[in-house]
Amino acid sequence: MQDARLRIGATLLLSCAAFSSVFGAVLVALWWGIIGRGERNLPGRHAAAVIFGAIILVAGFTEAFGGDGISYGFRMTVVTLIAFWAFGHGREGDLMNTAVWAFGDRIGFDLGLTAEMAVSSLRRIEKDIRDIKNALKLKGSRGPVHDLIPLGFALTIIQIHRAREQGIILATRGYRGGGTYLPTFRRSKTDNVAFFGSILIIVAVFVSFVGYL
Amino acid sequence: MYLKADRLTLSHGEWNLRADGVFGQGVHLVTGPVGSGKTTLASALAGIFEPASGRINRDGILHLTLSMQFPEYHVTGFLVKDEIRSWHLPVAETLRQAGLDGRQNAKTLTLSRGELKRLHLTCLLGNLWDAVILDEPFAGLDCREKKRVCAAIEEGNHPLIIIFTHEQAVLPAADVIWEIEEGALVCRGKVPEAIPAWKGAPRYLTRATEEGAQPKNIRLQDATEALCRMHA
Repeated sequence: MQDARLRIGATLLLSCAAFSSVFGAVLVALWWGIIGRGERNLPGRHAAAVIFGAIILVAGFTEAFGGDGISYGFRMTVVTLIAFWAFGHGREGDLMNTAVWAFGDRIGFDLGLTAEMAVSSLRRIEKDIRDIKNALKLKGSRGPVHDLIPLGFALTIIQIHRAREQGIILATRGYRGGGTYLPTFRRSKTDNVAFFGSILIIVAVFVSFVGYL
Repeated sequence: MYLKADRLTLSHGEWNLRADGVFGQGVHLVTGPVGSGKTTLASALAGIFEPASGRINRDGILHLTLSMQFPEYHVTGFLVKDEIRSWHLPVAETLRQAGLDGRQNAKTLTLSRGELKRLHLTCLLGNLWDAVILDEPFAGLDCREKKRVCAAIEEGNHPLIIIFTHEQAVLPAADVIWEIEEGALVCRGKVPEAIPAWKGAPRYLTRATEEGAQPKNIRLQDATEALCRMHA
């Protein structure tokens, strides 16, 4: 999906639909299977094991203590798959474009800038974690649990330093809030179909709730 | 003892770098423009970046390390003294060498980038390694500290040192010059024969060779001495 507005909109609708009921999650899973094909951006084995392992763990506990853990596990898995789809195909500037388009040059610009900086930090953290782990391995790792402390500490300090540097750069360039920005969007042939599909799903979920009530 | 890049191809998406060569004992200097792949090649030689094809062969190298460009990545000690101890080095002596006397109780990650780099390089070079790979060791250091790092490299405590840098002012004496050019690692040869062929040579070296001088090595003092010899 090329158009950032439609992708963000679809992500919100699909996430709500998937989390609200198992019926919604099934529909979203179908959407993901058909329309998200080729753009799924699934994580590597280790990351997948950690993320989905955490979901399974919580679901297991919920089920064991009388809650509906299986439903929770399935719904959260689908929400996570949608998050991978949405995050993986985001391009630099998508959030800025969408925020300025939606909220204008003042609030939209600030929101977009904050969101872009946050996403950019997330992407850099991935590399930082990889590099820190490698550095610790070279220095003589004392095991993944022991390494967590220096890793977390270094990561936090690096982020604080970067945030301060970014703040200084923005202040030096005269940023006081808001700005001039012309949002631009690209759209592929399938964008409308995919977004329309997500609207149909949220409507179907809503109708199923109304019917239930 | 050697580290061999055997028909290596390194890839990041559509970006590729080819490397084929043997790094024998001595000091090897690898230069290339920013973005040419120095860090990726350094990581591959250290065994932490998976090559797309080819392989790295190590002969006689049991202890190898890599100094990454950002010293923060290596920190495991909360206080400076803990960090020094994590490298199994004496605290007072290491502090003195790093020019950080009296800072043993400072929080390691609150040191400035330059101070941290000094501490990191002092600790790393203070250990005994068969092979040391240094990725931009001079970044963030002032001239005095760069000279101190060069002196530590020239001490010869480590049989094989590979330096990846785009430093143009302060360099250590080197044995072999390599360059990354058009997506490939190219060996310019042994010093001093390699100097005229070195495209990314510092200005003082090219100036000296243009004037007909023949520096014995790549340091500023080598260029100066060569010019003095010529005009004597």
